[in-house]
Amino acid sequence: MLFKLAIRNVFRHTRRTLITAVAIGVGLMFMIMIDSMFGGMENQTVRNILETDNSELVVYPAGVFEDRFLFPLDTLIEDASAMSAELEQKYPDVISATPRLRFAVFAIGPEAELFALGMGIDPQKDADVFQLQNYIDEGRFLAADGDLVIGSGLAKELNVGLGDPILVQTRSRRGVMDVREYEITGIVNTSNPVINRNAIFISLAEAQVILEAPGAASEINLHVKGKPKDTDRLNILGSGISEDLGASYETYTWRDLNAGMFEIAGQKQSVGFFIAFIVIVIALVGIVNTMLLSIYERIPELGTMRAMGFSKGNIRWMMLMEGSVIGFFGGLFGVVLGLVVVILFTEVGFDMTPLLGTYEMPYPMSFVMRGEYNFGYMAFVFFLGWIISTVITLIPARKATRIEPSEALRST
Amino acid sequence: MALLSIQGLTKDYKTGKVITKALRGIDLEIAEGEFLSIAGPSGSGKTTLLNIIGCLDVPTSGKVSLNGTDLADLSNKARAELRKDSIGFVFQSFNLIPVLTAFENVEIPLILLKWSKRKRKETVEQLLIDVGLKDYIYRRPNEMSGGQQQRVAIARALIKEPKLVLADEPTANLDSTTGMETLELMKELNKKKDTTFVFSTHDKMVMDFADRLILLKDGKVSSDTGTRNTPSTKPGK
Repeated sequence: MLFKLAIRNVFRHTRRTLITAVAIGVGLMFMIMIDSMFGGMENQTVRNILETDNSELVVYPAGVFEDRFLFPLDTLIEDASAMSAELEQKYPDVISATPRLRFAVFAIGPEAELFALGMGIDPQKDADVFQLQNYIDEGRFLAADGDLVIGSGLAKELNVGLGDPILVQTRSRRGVMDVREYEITGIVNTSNPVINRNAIFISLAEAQVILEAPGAASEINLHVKGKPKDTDRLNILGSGISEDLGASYETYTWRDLNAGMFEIAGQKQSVGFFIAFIVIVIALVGIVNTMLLSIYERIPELGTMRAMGFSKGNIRWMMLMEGSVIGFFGGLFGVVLGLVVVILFTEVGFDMTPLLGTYEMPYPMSFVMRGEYNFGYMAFVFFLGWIISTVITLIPARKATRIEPSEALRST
Repeated sequence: MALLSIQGLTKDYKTGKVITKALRGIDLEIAEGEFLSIAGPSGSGKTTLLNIIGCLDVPTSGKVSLNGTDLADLSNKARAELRKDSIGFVFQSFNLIPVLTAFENVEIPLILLKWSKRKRKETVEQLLIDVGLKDYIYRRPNEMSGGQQQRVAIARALIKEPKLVLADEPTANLDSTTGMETLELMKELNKKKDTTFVFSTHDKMVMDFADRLILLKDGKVSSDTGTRNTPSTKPGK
């Protein structure tokens, strides 16, 4: 009976109930949207990293991890191809391995010159670990020594195109300055802006010659079985490999290599959730207000109920059920609205290019932001909205139970 | 033994620093099956007295016993239980729950008493037929006239067959014909079920209709007619 009464009371003022439920729903929708947005950003970032920059596990010479962005040539993995082959053979979880040799480059075009990231890669082995070959926009992927593939953003900055000459200036391992002219044989346009805007790819053999580092590489990238986000498993495998390789080498996961970036993303996510929390608090103030209004309107009715023998507990339960019904519909509405937004976000994406213009994204993600489906979180948000709406109703319910029947009936 | 015994009952209301003496020492005994009217001008203490008898309010001093139970000894919960089990209320503004049908309004006291659904249905429908609402059983209050709503309220007060029904100016919001019909219905149920009716009024017609009339003035009993013979049909017929 209390439930029947609660349902009918809630719909006594349909418009007010709907407005409150919509307010709760919008708050919950924001939570779902922010989760989807950050989840999508993280997924995209992880995918972009793994497809172009670092694999799931990366072997470095000991001691270079901290200075890896300075591209030290004095400490390299010597005979890197042999080590790659050995790692592939020895570890069943390693699907493929490829060495990469990174170096600082001064790229000189006919009209401009820029510092860039040079990367020597083994075209065949690299394609087993990364996906660069799938992002060739113009020309071809590295096919022979002497080929050069340039990131689309860097090409644009240098104002060069396919077939144009480009000078690559670098310093060898012994400190000898080397300048070579290449013809651009491919332009790569990945979904990783860091690569697009900075990278120049040449063959590993060519890079080893320029840098006077025969057979050497800065790192060995390992593509391993299982989900990349399962970092516990990656850490176990990485520790095993490090142990086997001895003290001269260290193994890091893709997450270790991008820890700073995920830390910033985590902080932004916290800010996002804080905003969603504020929206929900506002919605909950709305439900308290709605319930208080409803109580003030029904004082004589509540007095009558008390006169008939309804206990304070009965009244409290009825109020909680009313809040719960509003919360249920608010939660449902929030999830439906959130799902619609997430579908739009995920399937269509949100093109941020007009907003960002030429701003250089600090993260390896494209300007078209996409969400992700997280049905577990949606269910969590639904129950969260429902439960909090019910619990918050304890405040107005307390007011309702404190109404003295004689006072209430006097206001008839 | 009297159903209701009141001795030295006083009730003060405090508003800020002002103390209003609503009841100034009432002594009264009401027997089972009485059909009694408490009359008096506005502010004479009628509603306060009914509220205290109905366990809706507590006295400042004095003793009220219902069926031998001293109401002063009861906790809030026990008073709610007593109201649920033994007292029915009829209000001036009917006070039906607007979102419930006549049937559901009358059914509530039986739900609180945990009657079975089948038994509730039979009993409620029969009583609503008895009070002349056969065609209004599943109507909501806003689909009924004032007289019909008051009949529902009377049915709601009587459905659990309480020892005592308290009615606070039950005819005040009704026209004289409907008011008289309501009184006759109450009287009929009083005779049929031997239920004690205590109702407040300041309507002369209602005062004349009661078996016993108690007049209140300034929070005191100014006169008590004792049980008398009253007309059982409409005056003037």
